[in-house]
Order: sequence, then C-alpha cells, then structure tokens
Amino acid sequence: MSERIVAVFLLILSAAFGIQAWTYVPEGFTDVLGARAFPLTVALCMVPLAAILFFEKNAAKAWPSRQAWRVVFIALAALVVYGLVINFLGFFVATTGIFIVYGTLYRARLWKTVLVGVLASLTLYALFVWVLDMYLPVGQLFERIF
Amino acid sequence: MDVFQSLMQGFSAALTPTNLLVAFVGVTAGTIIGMLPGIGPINGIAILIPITFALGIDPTAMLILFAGIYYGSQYGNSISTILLNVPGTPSSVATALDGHPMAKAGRAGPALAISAIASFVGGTLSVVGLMLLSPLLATWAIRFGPAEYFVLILFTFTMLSALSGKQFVKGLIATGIGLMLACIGIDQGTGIPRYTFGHLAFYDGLDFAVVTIGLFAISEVFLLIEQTQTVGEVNTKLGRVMVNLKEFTSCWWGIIRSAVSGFMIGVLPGAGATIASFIAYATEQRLVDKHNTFGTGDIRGVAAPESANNAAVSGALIPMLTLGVPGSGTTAVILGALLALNLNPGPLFIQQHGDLFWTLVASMYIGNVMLLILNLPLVGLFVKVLLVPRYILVPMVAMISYGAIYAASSSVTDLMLMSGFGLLGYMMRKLEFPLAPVILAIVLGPMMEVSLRRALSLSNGDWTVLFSSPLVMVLWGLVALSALFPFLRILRRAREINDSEQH
Repeated sequence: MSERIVAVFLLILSAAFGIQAWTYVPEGFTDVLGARAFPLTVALCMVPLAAILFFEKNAAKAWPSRQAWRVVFIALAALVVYGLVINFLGFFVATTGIFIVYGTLYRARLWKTVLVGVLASLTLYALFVWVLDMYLPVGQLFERIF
Repeated sequence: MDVFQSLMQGFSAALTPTNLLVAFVGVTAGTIIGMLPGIGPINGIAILIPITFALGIDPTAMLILFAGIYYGSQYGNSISTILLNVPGTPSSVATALDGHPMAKAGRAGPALAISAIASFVGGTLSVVGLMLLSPLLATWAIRFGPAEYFVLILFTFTMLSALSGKQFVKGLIATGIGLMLACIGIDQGTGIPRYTFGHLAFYDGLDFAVVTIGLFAISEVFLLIEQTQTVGEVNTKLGRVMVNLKEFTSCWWGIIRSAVSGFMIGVLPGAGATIASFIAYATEQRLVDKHNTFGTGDIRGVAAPESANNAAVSGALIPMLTLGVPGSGTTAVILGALLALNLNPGPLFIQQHGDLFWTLVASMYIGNVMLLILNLPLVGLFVKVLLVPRYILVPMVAMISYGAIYAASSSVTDLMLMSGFGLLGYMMRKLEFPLAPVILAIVLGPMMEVSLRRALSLSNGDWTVLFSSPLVMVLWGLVALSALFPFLRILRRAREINDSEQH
C-alpha cells in the first residue's frame, strides 16, 4: 500500500482530531491550559509529519499479499466472533473453536486441532478459574447443566 | 543508611520464599518468552498485567516478576538466535552474526555457554550500576520542576524516534498516535470528557493492558499466522554446554567492556538493548578482530552483544525508576503497571519506596544467578520449547491474552478493542511504523499534559517558563540534537556514497 494513502488518512484523522478538540470549551472556572490546548497541539504537529510522509519516497517493503490478508482477516474475524459469543457459548467452547480455526489456517489435521483445542481450553480454564481464582464464563448454554 | 545496609535489607526481603518463587517464575518465563520468536518481553509483561492486578499481587513481587521477565528474556533470546538464526527479540540480532555460524559448525554448546556467562556478567555488573547510580540520579532529579519534566518527556519522544532506525518521521507519527490515544477520557484539569463520544467505557481512558496486548501480542499473532509454515528443523543435540579456558579468556575483557558500554547506552532514553548490542559488537570487531573472523563463528562476537544487551536492561530501569520517564517500550509497560498501582516512579521513589527498590536490586542479583544455573545445565530442556508447533503456540498466545483481559474486566468491549488494536499494530508493523513510541506516548502523554499544566499554572500562564532555567535549556538542546540526529546520519551516508563513487 502506498504510504501516500496512509499520509492522507493521517491528515484527515489529525484534522478531525483537531476540530473535535476545538469543541472542548470548559464552562465556568478553568485552568490556564484548558481541555483543548494539548490535543490541538498534537493534531497540529501531526499535520506536517503526515505531509512529510506524503512526499517521502520510501515505500513500505513488506505489504502483505492478498493470500496473507485473507489469512489475517480470518484470524481477526475469528477473534471478533470469539468476543461476541464468549458469554453465550462460554470460554471452553469458544476457545476450542479458536484453536480449530487457527489450526485449520496452519493446515493441521482436524483431529489434532480438536484435541489440542480441548486440552488447551481445559488447561487455560483451570489456570484462570481454579489456580488464579478469576472469572471466566461457563456460557449461558451450559449454565443449566453445570 | 548506606548502600550496603540497604542492599542487605533488600536481600532479606528478596530471599523470602514468595519473592524467591516470583523471581524464579519471572526469569523462567522470561527465558521462554525471549526464546520464542516474536513474543518478546513487552507481550509477556502486558499479558501478565491484568492477571497480577486481578490477583492483588504485592507491588514488590509484581516488580520482581516483571523485571525477571525483562532480563530473563535477554538470556532466552540468544537460544533461538544461535540455534535457529531467528532472534527472539531485535536485541539478539547481533548475536546471530557469530552465534548461528558457531551452531552450524557444531559448536552450539560453547556458543550457548558463553552467551549465558556473558549475560550473567553483563547483567550482574549492570545491577551494580543500577544500585549505585539510581540514588545519585534521584537526588539530582529532585531539581526537576514541571517545565523540566515537560521537555524531558519531549526529549524521550524525539530520542526514541531518532533511534528507531531510518524511520524518524514514522517514529514521531507513532508518538502522535499514542498521544491521540492518551487524550481519550476525562481531562484531568477541567473534567471535560474528551473523545469519548458519549460512551461511558471510555471515560476512564483506554485500558493500558488492552492497548498494549492488542498492539503487541495480537498483532504478533497476525504476523505469525500470516506465515503459515511451521518451525523448521531444530537441532536439539547441543553437546557439552561449556567453554574451555582459552575461549573464556579470549572473551573476558570484551564481556566487561560491553557490560559497561551496554549499561551506559541502556540509561539513554530510547537507546536500549538493540543498539547496545550492535555497538558492543562493532567495538569488539574494531578492537580485537585482527584476522577478520567476526561473522564466521567467532565466540567473541557472541559474548560482546550478549553482555551488552543484558547490561542495557538494568540501565533502562534507571530513568524509569528515578525520573519516572521510561526509555523503552518494555519499561513503559512496567511504568504503566506501577502507575496503575498508584506507585509513582520519580525522584522520590527510592526515598519513599526504598524497600521496594532495594528488594528489586537484590532480586536481580539472585535472578541472574538463577538464570546462569537455568541456562547452563538446563538449556537442553528449554530448547524443547522451540519444538512446539505453531498451530498450538499461536492460538495459545491469543487465548492467554483474551482470557487474561476477559478474566480481569469481564468486558466484551475490551475484547473488541483489543482485536482492533491488534489490526492497527499489524498494519503499523507492515508499514514499518515502530510500536514502542505508541506505548511510550500513552504512558507519558497524560504526564506531559499535567507537567505543562502545572508549569503554566505556576507561571500564571507565562509560556516563557518553558525556557526559564539552565536545566530546561540543556534539555531543549538535547531535544534539538536528537531531532537533528537522523538528518546528520542521512548527510553522513550521502557523503559516504559520494566518496565511494569517487573512488
């Protein structure tokens, strides 16, 4: 990806950040600095830096291929879904699922990924809940059973 | 109370069963974390932060644990570097230059042995430096007012960016991104919520552990999964892990020299273990490599960088403990954890928390001995960890991270944010933006704003307060120097290219 796209994005981000900072006007008593001076300064400093990046000739060398992006997207999507379903399915099932998805991405055999997933989930659950005495959800599906 | 007496008290606290166990766990975990390519001490410490908070671990034990992981990782990273030619962290890249050729020539055992010995000497000598220099620097740092702190933090940012390779501008942009993230939450001076967009979850600002784990550990997971091949062949037959007297004596002075230089470089903000190891390697090459054997498996080329990178760790702890200003990503993470516990490192830290400081120093002496014992006879056991397939290791790192954050906060929002920061970290790495300045800015951003606010309050809004004392002017000079440093380097390189073209 061209660094110019990143530079343009940073320029827009800095502008939005600065404009938002401008709206932070305290009512009544305030200190000498106020709430907007610091973020506004940060935004103003970012503008010339983004401009330098725009005109620089160094392009990032290792931008991932489409295949790599596909793998990363699946890995990210799996983690997002994990966050959404952890309360419903519980830590054990959701974690096993992640091991299966990631194992599949590594082209490991299914039975191996399932076995590793179950063992690792059990180990982590035991570590967090029984050894460290922290809370992890059993899952709404299984609350009635356990 | 003199240094010796304080140290003895530190030893009496460090030798309690709990602290000994914590030091052991820290250095062992550090060795394994350092050895696994890509994991690194920042990830290890960041993942442990929510767990230690949730467990209510005593701050002394927590600091011993985190420091143990930090210096333990410097021991561990040489193992994968020497055996696989895959440095666990950038600080062991210089070790690979001679360490891996030694392993390929069937001398992995002596390479690992000298690496452990050099790490021990470097680590131990630098703890002496930490012990002697920290109280002195703390006494001097009491002169720092808010204006000095503001400029010192600015210096840390420019220095870290200047030393983050060729990408000075990218380092500064990464700092800017960190400062933007640091602005999220209620403004401490006026009570106005900034960039929260009405979401209560953001009123306290972003959770430091969520950002750190996301940026470092989760982005690392994406980087590792992108290369879906498994670990290559690892030769676990090491032979005798020991050096002979001739090999040892050839390295001895290099180890001492590198420990001293590594420690001094470690104290500088932003410099750290990577630069220390390269400078030590280059210095030894210039001083002792009469037959051009460096780079072909010369044992002195392993000893020097290993001594330096371990020494730099203790050096890096000095500005963090005495000024409250970390000089590296890892010390920024440790500082973040200490601040969350209402322990404010700074000039008065040793005075107010002397017991904690001296226990840490004593534990570092003990930890270095533990590491020497672990890394000489037991190195064969650690090597087995390198055989763990990636399809187990990568999801394990992800699930420990997610499990730790969820167990500490029970917040799905935190998990989502962590995924988002993972993607941000991945993209930043791909675009060659350094990540350490982001973390440094998140930790130091609020401190910088508070310092500016205090300085202006004390001067009734007069901005010239930022240029009012000789000390602050010296610091501005350092800011200017560090900002000019990358341009001077470009000029020097251009001149070198010009010269070589003329010849």
